Amino acid sequence: MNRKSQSVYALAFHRFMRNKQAVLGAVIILGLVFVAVFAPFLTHYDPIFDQDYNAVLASPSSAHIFGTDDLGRDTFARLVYGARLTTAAAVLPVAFAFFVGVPIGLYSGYKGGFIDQWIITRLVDALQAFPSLMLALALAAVLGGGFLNAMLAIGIGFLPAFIRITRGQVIALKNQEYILAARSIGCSNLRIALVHILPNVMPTLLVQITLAMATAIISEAGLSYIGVGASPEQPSWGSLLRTAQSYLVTQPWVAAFPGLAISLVVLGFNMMGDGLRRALDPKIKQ
Amino acid sequence: MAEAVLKIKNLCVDFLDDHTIVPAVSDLSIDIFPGETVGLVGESGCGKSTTSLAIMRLLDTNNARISKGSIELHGQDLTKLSEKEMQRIRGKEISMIFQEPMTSLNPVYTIGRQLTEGIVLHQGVSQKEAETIAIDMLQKVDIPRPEIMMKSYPFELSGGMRQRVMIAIALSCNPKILIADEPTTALDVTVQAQILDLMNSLRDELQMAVILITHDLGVVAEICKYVYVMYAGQIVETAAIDDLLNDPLHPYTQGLLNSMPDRWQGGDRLYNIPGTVPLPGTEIKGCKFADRCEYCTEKCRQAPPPLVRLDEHRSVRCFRSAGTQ
Repeated sequence: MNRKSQSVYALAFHRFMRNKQAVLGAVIILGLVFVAVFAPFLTHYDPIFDQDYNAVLASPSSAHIFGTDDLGRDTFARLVYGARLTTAAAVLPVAFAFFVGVPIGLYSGYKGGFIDQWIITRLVDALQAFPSLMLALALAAVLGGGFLNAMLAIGIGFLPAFIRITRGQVIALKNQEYILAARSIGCSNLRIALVHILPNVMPTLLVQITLAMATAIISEAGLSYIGVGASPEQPSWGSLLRTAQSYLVTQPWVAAFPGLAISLVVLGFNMMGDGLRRALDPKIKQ
Repeated sequence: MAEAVLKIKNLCVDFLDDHTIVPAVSDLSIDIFPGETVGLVGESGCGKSTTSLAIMRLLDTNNARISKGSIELHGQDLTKLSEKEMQRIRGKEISMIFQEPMTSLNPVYTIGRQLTEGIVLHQGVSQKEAETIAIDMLQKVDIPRPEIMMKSYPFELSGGMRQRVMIAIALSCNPKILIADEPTTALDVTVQAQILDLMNSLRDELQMAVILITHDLGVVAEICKYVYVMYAGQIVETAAIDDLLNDPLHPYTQGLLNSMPDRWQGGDRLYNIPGTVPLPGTEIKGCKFADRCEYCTEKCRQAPPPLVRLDEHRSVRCFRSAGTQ
């Protein structure tokens, strides 16, 4: 009892820091955020307007270290500014799914009964029956293209996972004795759901958030690639790939750098998610 | 005699299983006086815990309900209160401690946080004041170095310590009634004795009434004044503790007493009551204990025996004892 008491999260942090792979993942993600924030300081080219018609589809050189695209725009600049869109693509859909899905899952799991079993669960089942890319495409068709609509579409695709995970955890937790104990000292239902149950669901959700971010980046790239996401002039990594497709055989570097960037960041999120899962799982003790 | 703090009158609790109604507790009446401990004894599935949850109005409303009877706390019928009104009673007037100290504390919060929650909720004091009260409570339940304990997390404590913390939480708002549902079952015997001592002294100090739910007659003998023996959702015998131990009238009580290991006579096989508690919902025309009773007669199978009052503190639900006296 003399040592300092540590919360679940402090202990998990120590476990996380000892996992080299997880730390590497976190470093990659911090790198992405760093690049997104400091984009103007990393390159002096503008990603949209600096078009060098004397160097169209140029191979990497000292002037354009990652080469240029079909309009003579610097690929490095587009990648660096694209990090902003990628960060947004990771955060926005997941934030939407979290703030909409978790309350629904909490309500559904805690309340139970008709609304839970016959309305929410059925709706989630129906939503889950669509392949996520199809769903996003359909929504983009209804809402129109554009980056934000793509984000919303991807976010709606994540809803079932967030609702289900929250609901399942709440059902498992609400019969725990400490929840009964909380009720027995006079806590209201809202208080129990938010103060007593939600923090216990958070570790699982945190893992889900990280892994969903990886999927979100891929989905955004996919949507931009087929042309319903970011508009062509926006430097999204997906639209970079789309441009590059035509020159895949003759100028492969145009596709290589955005492809590598996407892979690296998704790998980073996955490694971090995996590390979080290990760090937060109460069954893995040392 | 002082007035009863809690009067349970003809309480019936039903479980709703799909579309069938299964009686879990039937016609239960108990009066509880301040400063007294009453024991509720019986095997698993007798309706003891259901009764305690019914008093707290914590039954899962999706599949259980109080179908009849009243639970009066100082003349106020708890069965008629709204959920909001009940939230003001829980923790303040009636508190509860549970069987599993290992799982009845929230793992993500410090002891201090959990202890102050009820105090802030019910007494309208600031977090700072609540902490002072909480430290005071931890001292009352004999926890050494309460300031350090306040910052600890549940997983850092032993079972006995956690149960002390649970008692501190339950008593932090000076409730008039404490319901203890198998409070010592998960603890080893030496810790069990300490916890029972603690409950005894706190009951006297705070003049509260304690409802002790247990299957362990040894525990009952330590701290209860009156005992209610339950079987299949009914009270089958009530008595002052000494009378019950010396002269059990109902065959079920006798069976329970005989099932206890004897300290002096070793070597023999332990007695056990043949059969098991009938599942709630089984149609039984006569006495519910008939199938397991060695004295069962034709009469017992025809009609259910009534709970007959023998004297002020003694009743029994058996044709045999009720008839002969």
